Order: sequence, then structure tokens, then C-alpha cells
Amino acid sequence: MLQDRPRVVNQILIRLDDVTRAEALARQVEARFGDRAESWEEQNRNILTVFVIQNAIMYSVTGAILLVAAFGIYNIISTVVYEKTRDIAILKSLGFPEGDIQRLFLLQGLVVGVLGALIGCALGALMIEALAQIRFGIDTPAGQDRFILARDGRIYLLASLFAVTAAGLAALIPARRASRLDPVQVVRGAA
Amino acid sequence: MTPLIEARGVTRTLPEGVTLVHDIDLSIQPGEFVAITGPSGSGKSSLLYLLGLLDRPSQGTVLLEGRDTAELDAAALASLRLSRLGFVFQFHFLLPEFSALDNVLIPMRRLGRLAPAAARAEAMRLLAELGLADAAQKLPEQLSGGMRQRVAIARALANDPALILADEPTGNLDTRNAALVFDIFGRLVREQKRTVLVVTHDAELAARAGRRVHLVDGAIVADDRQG
Ligand SMILES: Nc1ncnc2c1ncn2[C@@H]1O[C@H](COP(=O)(O)OP(=O)(O)OP(=O)(O)O)[C@@H](O)[C@H]1O
Ligand SMILES: [Mg+2]
Repeated sequence: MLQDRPRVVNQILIRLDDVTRAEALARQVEARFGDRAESWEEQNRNILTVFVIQNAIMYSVTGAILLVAAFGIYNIISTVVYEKTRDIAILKSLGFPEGDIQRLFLLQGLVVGVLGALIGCALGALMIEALAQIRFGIDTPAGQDRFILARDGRIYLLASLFAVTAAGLAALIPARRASRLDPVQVVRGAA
Repeated sequence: MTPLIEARGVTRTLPEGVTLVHDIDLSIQPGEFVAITGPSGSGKSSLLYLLGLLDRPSQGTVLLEGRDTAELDAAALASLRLSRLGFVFQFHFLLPEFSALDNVLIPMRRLGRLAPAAARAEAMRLLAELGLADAAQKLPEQLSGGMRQRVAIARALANDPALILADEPTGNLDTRNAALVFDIFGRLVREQKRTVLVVTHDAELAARAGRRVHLVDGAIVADDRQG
């Protein structure tokens, strides 16, 4: 912002090769010439805030879904442990240590988690390609008439990692319960 | 001679205050065939679980091959059960998804004393010895009650145990199959010098054992040996 008068140069726009340096440059310009300089981040602060909020919502929703999925896995493994009560008691009476039993069900939970992650990644990739087909058919200020999509492999990796970890944690509780089961109670009850 | 298994002043009381067995002193020598008899609720099963290291005494101690088991943690007890003890219960307790052969192989694989091929051969030998050569690949549900119980005996023998513990192994069998099971136990003791402890309330079958321990209300009231 220079003088804000008619018929003179009031604005100088500077295009940078590296967008991330705009903020530093703006501060430099202000310090050196005393004129007000605004980086693009400053100018678009409102819009950027929307992005931050959008990300926050996305992560909360993803977290909630993960939590629900973890409960699902907890339920599955709990049910399996319940159904296999007798077999667990048999193995324990034969001399299988608690660690074996715990690993068995933990492993099952992780398998469910890994399968879920794989299916989820495949489904996610498919949905991204489906979204990519959509055209808005209108001129947007950004000159885009389609979704801006992230195809970054790291997102899949991170999500899978979280999913498998959640599955493992969810399976751990019933797995521990299974390993601590007292075979005497089962053997007695079945007789 | 060091007893194979010995109970010294064993009492088992549940947290609720119920006493299952009390002041049990019992010592079993290698090669003995012992029947535990007694009325229903007298504590026969409870005693078997204690001697089988499935349960721990509230007071007193159980010694296996001279070794005090009171000090051992759960993993060490499990390891002793795997390598030194064989269980047969009233219900066969075979894993339903596995063939007869695989059921016998399960404890062998866990112990890992034999290489896979040798374990397989040994499991087949055990099954054949019990007249189950043709049943090896069958699932438990495809077998008769008597055959299932014999598979359970083969599994109990899988790791060449020092002691076989059986809790009413004939409870679900007809007289012919029950007699067969006791024939097998008798043979194991006579021909293979194994030690067998069997709970039964069938006096006729108990008479086949060399020693009968009689329980009433959680205490040993009679312990008689004969021929
Ligand atoms: N968990 C438990 N809670 C309360 N009482 C129990 C429990 N387990 C066993 N008992 C009682 O302890 C006593 C001994 O039981 P145990 O099963 O050892 O007898 P048993 O001689 O094997 O009987 P059975 O011939 O019927 O098999 C019984 O009176 C039984 O009701
Ligand atoms: Mg009983």
C-alpha cells in the first residue's frame, strides 16, 4: 500500500518462486521501505482459517470413526474369546502358557486390523478416483472446476498405521482376559 | 524312592470360604495305578486339579518328582503340565476344528521335543496303539464317544508324561468302552511302567486299580492297596 491516491502506482505485487518465503519478505520490505507489505498468507487469513478448521473437523471425524472401528474389533475379539472359552481352557490345561493365548488373540486382532486397513486403502483410492471424475461446470476463482485431491501415499500409510495400532489395542483387552482364564472353572463346569 | 507326586497337608479353600479338600497327605510312587473314589461332591476333582498343577493349594504343598511346586509361577506350572503330566477328562475336550492326529500333535508341537516328522510318526503310533489308526484324519465329531476318549488318552500320552491324571474318563461311556479305557490304563501301567491316577465312582472299575484312595467330605478316609 503506497499512497492510495488516484492516477499513481498504489500497489506493487511481487511474485515469488518460493511461496513459503512471502511472509519473511513482507516483513523485510516493511522494515526497509516503511510501506505496508502483506504476504499472501496475511491477505487470505480468513480463508486459511477455514482450512485449519476443516482439517480439525477431518481429524476429529477420522478419530471418531477409528474409535468406533476399535470398539468393533474389541467386540469381535471379545466374542471369539467367549466362544472359544472351552478351547482356551483346554490349551491352558495342556500346558500352553498365558503368553501364547494372549498372542493368539492379539494376532487375530492385528490380522483384522491389517485386512481392514488394506480394504480401507483400496476403497479410499477408488473413492478418490471417483471424486476426480466430478466436474463442477462453473468458473471458480481458483480456476479449478474439480475437487483438489490428495493422493499422497503417506496419508494411506499414516491411516493404516493408526488403524492397525487401534486394532491391536482393542484386541489387547480381550486377549489378556483370555490368557487369564482359569481352566479349572471351565473344566469343572463342562463335566 | 522319591514319590512321583506328593501332597503334603494340602487344603484348598475357595475365597468364598468353601473348603474343597483339607489336610490331604498323599504320596504316589512311579508305576502306581491309583483310583480316587468317593461320593459326589467329596472333592475328587478338586484333588485331581491340585495334583495336576491346575489349581494351587491354600495351605500345604504339592511336590512333583521331589520338587516343591509352591514356589513356581504360572508359566513354570504350565511347562510342567506340558512336559510331565497328561490329562483326560470326563468330556473328551478335543479341539473340534482339528483332526484326531492334529489334536495329538498340538501338545507335541508346543513342547517341540520331537522334529515335525518324528512327532507325526509318534502321534500315529499312539493312535494305532489305541486302535485308532483309521481315525487319524477324522474330526472329533466324526468319531464315537469311546473313540474320542481314546484320542484324548493318546493326546495325554503325547509328550511321554510321568503321570496321567484322568477325571471320570468313563463318565460318558457305555460299560464296554469304559472297560476298554481301564484296560488301556492297566496296560500303560503294566507294560510301560507309567503312573496313572484316575477318579471314578464306579467301584467295579476302581477295583482294577492297584490302589484305591477313598475321599469323603474333602478328606481321605481310606487308602488301600492290593495286588
Ligand atoms: N467354584 C465352586 N464354588 C462353590 N463350591 C464349589 C466350587 N467348586 C466345587 N465346589 C464344591 O466343592 C465340593 C467338591 O467338588 P468336587 O468337584 O471336587 O467333587 P467331586 O468329588 O469331583 O464330585 P463329582 O463326583 O460330582 O464330580 C462340592 O461340594 C462342590 O459343590
Ligand atoms: Mg468330579
